[in-house]
Amino acid sequence: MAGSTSSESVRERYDLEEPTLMDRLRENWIGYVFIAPVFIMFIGLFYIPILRGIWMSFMNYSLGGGGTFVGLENYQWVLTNDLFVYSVGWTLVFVFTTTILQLSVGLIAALLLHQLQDRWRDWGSAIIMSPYFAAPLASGVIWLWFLHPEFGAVTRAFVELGLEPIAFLSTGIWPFVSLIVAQTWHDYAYAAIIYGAALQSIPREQYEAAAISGANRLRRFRDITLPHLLIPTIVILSIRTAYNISEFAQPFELTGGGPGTKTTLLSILTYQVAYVNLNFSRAYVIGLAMMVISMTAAIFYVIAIREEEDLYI
Amino acid sequence: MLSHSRSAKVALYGGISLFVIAALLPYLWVIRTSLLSNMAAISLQTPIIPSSPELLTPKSYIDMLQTYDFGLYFRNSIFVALASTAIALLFSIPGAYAFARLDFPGRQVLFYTAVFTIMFPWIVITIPVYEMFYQVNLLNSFVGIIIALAIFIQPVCIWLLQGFFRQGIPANIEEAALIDGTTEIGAFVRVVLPLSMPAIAATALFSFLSAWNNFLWVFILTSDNKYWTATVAIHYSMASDILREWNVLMAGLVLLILPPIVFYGLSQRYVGEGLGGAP
Repeated sequence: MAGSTSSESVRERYDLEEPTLMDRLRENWIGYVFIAPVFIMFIGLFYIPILRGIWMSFMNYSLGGGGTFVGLENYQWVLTNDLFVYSVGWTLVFVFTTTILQLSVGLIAALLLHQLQDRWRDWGSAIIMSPYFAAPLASGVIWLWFLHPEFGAVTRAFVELGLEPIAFLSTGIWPFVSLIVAQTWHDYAYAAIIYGAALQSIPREQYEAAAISGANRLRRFRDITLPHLLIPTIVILSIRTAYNISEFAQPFELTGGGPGTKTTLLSILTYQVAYVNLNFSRAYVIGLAMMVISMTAAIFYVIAIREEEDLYI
Repeated sequence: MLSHSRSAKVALYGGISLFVIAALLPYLWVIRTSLLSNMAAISLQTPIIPSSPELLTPKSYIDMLQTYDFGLYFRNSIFVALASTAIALLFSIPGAYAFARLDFPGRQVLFYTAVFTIMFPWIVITIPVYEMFYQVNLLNSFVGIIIALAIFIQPVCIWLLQGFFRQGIPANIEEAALIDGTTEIGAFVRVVLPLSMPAIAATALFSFLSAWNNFLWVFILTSDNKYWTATVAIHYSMASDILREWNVLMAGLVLLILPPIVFYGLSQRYVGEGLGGAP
């Protein structure tokens, strides 16, 4: 009995009690006041619009004129629409290819930059990361001009070399390739930045110890570097997947879905149905398809950052 | 890193050079065009590298600002980016602080509902927002653009700031202030905020440039060119049927992409450390 009292008093003295829910509430209630403005803004301009959009998707809504309830008619229209089905397929190809390319090109960039000395690394990074910081719309215009069928740099280079120039934005498989290349160019630096930070955080001593115990370069990379890159890889894959799905400005500027409707990504289709055809209800149904894909990526992201909360949150 | 063989060095510098060329070539073509007259820009007789000085002229930059109203569009860009940054910071500083340092029940769930918005396809949310703004007459107005941009940059602001509040400020520093008899809000304003100024400045720069780079919101919410920002103006000059002045367009593009690249270039050492997962 005496023992239990003393251990209790020790716990009390050193404040070792697990805080209960009420304790946390009493001590930190002010937190709700601090987050209230943010959440009012999110609720008003994010969560309510999302719900309103879902409500709109069951109406035949027209701007300013209200609408009548039509049940699943819009869903049926979208799911049986040839362009939508085609666009889902092309969007998946686009997102998968660009994400993998951004990841691998970014990893190579990060590994190369990591080998440079500090001063050169700063300069090298500033240049190599620069595409990521230009506006996506600007990047679309830049590539449009770079690949221009008459006056573009690539066309001029082809002519100089005595080759037949290719209309990169209109013939054959090239519009698809151009969109993927431009999107990779603009965003590989995201992966390079995340990987670069991860590489910096690996203690040097681990490499030295491994070198002393006779591990060769490849082995050091496999046993020390790779494990540190696992969580960053998941973060990059999920963030880039979500961003490549929602990318609008760059493909909109570069091909605008053309030639014809050949390169229509879901983001461009959503835009066209909403603001060109002015059918908000159907556009929102297409948008829901985009949401499903990017929210799946978001779930992976949240799981990954929970693993290493200190590093990424 | 540890071993420096000759072939490893060749591979290293060769690889770096390839990246530098790939990153810079498209820009160089833009800069080249912006320094030519429009006729020279679309003439196949102009050498790929226009080295003779009589070919080069800054006229496109002057035309862009004087004849083509880009002065107005860049002023609009600066104005809406500043205003939306101010609003986003005002809301996200206390929010990020609470997420990072106050252990209230439900903190984690609320935090994830906030960061979840980072990954949302924005084109989808424009549809109901457009409709709501239509009802309350906020289309074609700076107020509407600024509200939309503020909500667009807010998730990343929260993300960046809470990372700093969590790691950049000594633990229990508020408690010292509380013992001195100030309130929680007093401790936040007098102790935490002054320590956070560098991080807040970095976040402000980041959100200013995100708003500056944004195209979608301004494009959706405006049709009147009084409200266009530089990105939207460039889009409409691309789409216009009149003879495109490629050199003027490229001069506008140079002015649009230069600020973010220079600022991030100068601060890129901090970008890597601070971003850790945010876009």
